[in-house]
Amino acid sequence: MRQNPVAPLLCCVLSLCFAPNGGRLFASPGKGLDVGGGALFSLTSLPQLETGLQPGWNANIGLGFTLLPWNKSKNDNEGGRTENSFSFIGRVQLDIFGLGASAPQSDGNLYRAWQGGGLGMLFGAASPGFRMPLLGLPARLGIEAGGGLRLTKYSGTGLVSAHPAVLGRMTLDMEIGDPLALELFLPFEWAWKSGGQAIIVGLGLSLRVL
Amino acid sequence: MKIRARIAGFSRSAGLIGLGLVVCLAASCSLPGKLTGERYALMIGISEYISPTIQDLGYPKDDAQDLGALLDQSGWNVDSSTLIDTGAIKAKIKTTMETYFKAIPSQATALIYYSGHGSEDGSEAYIVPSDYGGTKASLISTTELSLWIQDYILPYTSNVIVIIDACYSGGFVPQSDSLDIIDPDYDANFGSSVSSLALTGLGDLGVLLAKNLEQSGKLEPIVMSASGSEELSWESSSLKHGVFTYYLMKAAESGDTNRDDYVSATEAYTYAAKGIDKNWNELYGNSAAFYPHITGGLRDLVLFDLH
Repeated sequence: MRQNPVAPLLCCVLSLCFAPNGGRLFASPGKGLDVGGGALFSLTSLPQLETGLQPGWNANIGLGFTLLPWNKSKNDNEGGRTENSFSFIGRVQLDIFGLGASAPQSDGNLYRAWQGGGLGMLFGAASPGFRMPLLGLPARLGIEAGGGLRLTKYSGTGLVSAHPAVLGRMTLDMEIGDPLALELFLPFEWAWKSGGQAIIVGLGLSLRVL
Repeated sequence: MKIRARIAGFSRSAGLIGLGLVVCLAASCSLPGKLTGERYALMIGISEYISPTIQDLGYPKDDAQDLGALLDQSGWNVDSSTLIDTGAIKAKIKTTMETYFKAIPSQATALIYYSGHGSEDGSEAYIVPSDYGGTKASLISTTELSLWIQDYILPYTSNVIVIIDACYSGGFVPQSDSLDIIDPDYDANFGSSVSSLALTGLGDLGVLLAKNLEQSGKLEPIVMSASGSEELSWESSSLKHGVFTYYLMKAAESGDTNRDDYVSATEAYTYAAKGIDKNWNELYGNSAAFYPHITGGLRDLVLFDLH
């Protein structure tokens, strides 16, 4: 699988630069349904082999929720918008993803391509709102961690397998206009697969309906 | 304002540098390196059997020798003359495996290829050596071949590919971390999409997670078979080869799906499987459809080096 990591990043940067400035001060910390995707790569390893790099992609749909908006002020708006406070947030997400084969090592070994889907649940915190430098958009930072199950198939074969994974996600959530937010996210996944490990990181963009 | 502008400028530069580093890292790590490990292939092809009661086959000898020549061009050290036709008796297959692989450098890649008759008895699959005498003891069972690989190859290298083009050869393919959703009797379900069948794995999620947990990460041989454990493998007079071997060889020309100038065992398998499904199965349908199988696991090995 060939990936060009530059193109999605450029799109992402351009989207941020030309996004319209929302009138509200703060984006919702966690509520809403989002759809997004991005590029990722996996550092895959087996005990007897060198680590290999597998490029890939991810698309996901997630449902976010606010667990506890503490420091809630009297002037909170409707719809889960909290004024300048930390929040505990949660998220359920459904992913599909694909990873290409790694490059062969000098002895001819390589890591197989695989693709699949999974369900994950994450919990975390969102920062108080702030305005993005340069863009002036109301924004929040978030960090979430959790776990998930993955059902995968080695690409081009009929071999189906499943594995657990620890999931993580750092987000920059920018409200671009009621009721939409643009979210830049850095996904992280630590998967135990077939006696080996895959540490997957990436960069993605999603659109969230608050 | 100046400070803010400088900070913004700095963070933009830092971001660009960071992005550049990530792109360079990704690019450098995914660049295929040159293969330095040596590769040794032992080819077995039996068209002609000693016993007149066994029907001779048309193309296994050509399968072994032509695939051997292709591997030779691809940088393998190939023996495709010792175990051909009536020379491939059971005892000689065993001793040749023992002596041939004993001499290979540590952690070289070893390949065993077999084309000929295959059999099964409901519990095990068998390959049929040229001196088959009508008894089970004169066949080579899954268990025996596994033991020979364990005793004669695995002490020297864990990089092993086994390719079997024979009827019922799916019985030689262990599934390791995965469930193979392709039916061992493929023609019974001919027409089902392999992709849609993947969803059937959802029903076995618990089993799959348990299988995943059992894996130690030990490098097992990559085994691919021409057919399922309950079906025949075919040869074709128009292709002048076993159908599976024909498409496996074609994979050296057209199977490099990620265009890195290497065709891995999985890429070759995928090319062959799709070639058979599209060109053979669609033509012959339920009467003679078959589908190749391959072992699971994260690891793959280069089969054809196209450099």
